[in-house]
Amino acid sequence: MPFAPINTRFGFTLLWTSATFGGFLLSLLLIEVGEKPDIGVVEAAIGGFAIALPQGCLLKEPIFCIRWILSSILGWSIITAIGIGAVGWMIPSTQFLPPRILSGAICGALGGLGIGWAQWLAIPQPMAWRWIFVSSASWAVAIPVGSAVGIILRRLTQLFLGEVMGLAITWLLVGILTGMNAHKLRCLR
Amino acid sequence: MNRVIRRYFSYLLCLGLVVTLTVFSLSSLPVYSQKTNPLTTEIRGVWLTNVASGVLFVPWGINRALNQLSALNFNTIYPVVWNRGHTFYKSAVAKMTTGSDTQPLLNFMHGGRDVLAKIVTLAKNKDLRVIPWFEYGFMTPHYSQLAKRYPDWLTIGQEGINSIKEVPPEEIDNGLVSKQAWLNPLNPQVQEFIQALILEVVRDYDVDGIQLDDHFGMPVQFGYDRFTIELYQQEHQGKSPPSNPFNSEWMRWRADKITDFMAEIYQAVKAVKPKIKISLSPNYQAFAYKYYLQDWESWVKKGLVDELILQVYRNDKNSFIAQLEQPSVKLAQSLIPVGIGISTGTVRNPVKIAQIKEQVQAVRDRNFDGISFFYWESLWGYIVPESPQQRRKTFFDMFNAKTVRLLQPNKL
Repeated sequence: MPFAPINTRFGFTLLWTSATFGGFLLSLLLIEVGEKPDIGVVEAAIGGFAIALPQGCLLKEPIFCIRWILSSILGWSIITAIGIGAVGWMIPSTQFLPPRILSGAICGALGGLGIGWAQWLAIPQPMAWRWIFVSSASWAVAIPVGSAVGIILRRLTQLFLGEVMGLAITWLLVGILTGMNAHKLRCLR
Repeated sequence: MNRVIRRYFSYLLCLGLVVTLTVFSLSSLPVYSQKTNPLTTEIRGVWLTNVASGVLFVPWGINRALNQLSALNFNTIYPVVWNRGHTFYKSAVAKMTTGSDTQPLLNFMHGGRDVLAKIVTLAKNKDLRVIPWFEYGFMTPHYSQLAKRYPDWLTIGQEGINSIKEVPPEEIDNGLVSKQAWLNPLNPQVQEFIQALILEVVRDYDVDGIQLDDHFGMPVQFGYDRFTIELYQQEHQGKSPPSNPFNSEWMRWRADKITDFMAEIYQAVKAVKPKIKISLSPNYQAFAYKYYLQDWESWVKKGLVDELILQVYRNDKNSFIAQLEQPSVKLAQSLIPVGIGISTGTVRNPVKIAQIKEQVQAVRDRNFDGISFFYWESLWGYIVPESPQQRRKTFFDMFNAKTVRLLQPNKL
């Protein structure tokens, strides 16, 4: 057993959160944060890969790991292609807080739905459909919070870096919220 | 049955992925529409430094930077090669003198490969001029091997003051007050060392020039070390230097010695490669002379500088323009290509793209030969007010005309 805490729900959530957040940091080396039109399908696919790779490593069976990565890439590519946008790397064009929160919640819910749907295809469990709603709800909460933190930091510092830090908050929340449910994926180990 | 369905699903997943990526990948690439504006000879440069910037250290940082600069019609880079007592290329001279041939972190990150050689190779393929920048000039930290091994090379002020609060622009953000020691520009051993570094770069790399900046001088309060005092006494019938560092004759004497050394460097460089450019990026003349004994106006008059990039890092428009209209700048403009160094910001002083655009226009309105931006990380990194894509779009709009290769000075 490589990681002792993995036996507990808390331990797995911690690992899942670390993998997700680490994946986001890795993705920053590969793609550039920007507004919706700036992040294309290729960037979204690369970003999806960067996140799914460390997540997939937590799954025991190589076949599930590969399917997890492929379905994640597919999910990110599709939500970007159909116009929802690569919500994990894009920032809203508006700098006003209320529309940011509203549009963040909507985009998050839709984006999360798309990613969750694609990932659901990779989960061989009868109740796996729940994952779709977990993903959607997690993103619907995480994006408005991260986006609000991002714009506040940007205004305080006058730096775009504030938005990137807001996205980091988003990914941290997504990691925690999905991780709390992802422990059920342990049966894939 | 279940296994068959799953296998079928896996194939479907892969197919969907391939189709999605194929259909949408082409439309997602950033495209800058190249207008067919006439060619220009404008200098469009940027300084690449090692402080508060990862460009030289992160994987593919250099490749990414040069690709983007080339795509946006920049034509000159000034990569740092001398900073904090370290070289940023494989230097036999530095190895012999300080024990280290390259800045250690840079060496580690690039697996011991020569970064300047890599920059030169990549830049040549992109039609970018490479003008290595000896950023620290005579400045060196007290903790550097250079300062520790050769204390006699350092100059001091009165009452043994051995350092100066000197903070290069990109280091202002780190919150540390840098106290710097200063190599004595009048000391023949120091001169030999600095000249050897410069000649090494000129001889060993296919560069378009070398650049010295505002640190290629001597803080006015220095010059009270034993070597300088004895030299002054030899040339002044045993008289000691005045206690007032701003004494006009004492200032002139030191400034002239630095000018003499500048002439030596110019001749030595031209002897190795006659076509190579000596570029200088000083502060405005009055400040440079009064506080750093750097009489660059004389250097220009004597033909010791081929290209001048004046640092004008100001936010206020009127103050910026006033600097462009100084008599010394106009004089230089009449003799050599003169560009203006514009600040694109630091972490503590972010600069909006509107200000940059306004300053570029002010430079163009006054018929300067170009612009250089300080520094790479704040051109379109995350330490700017706008998104990186917005910044790049504005730079592309400003530089939509391609430039001809800048090899020869267009005046002289």
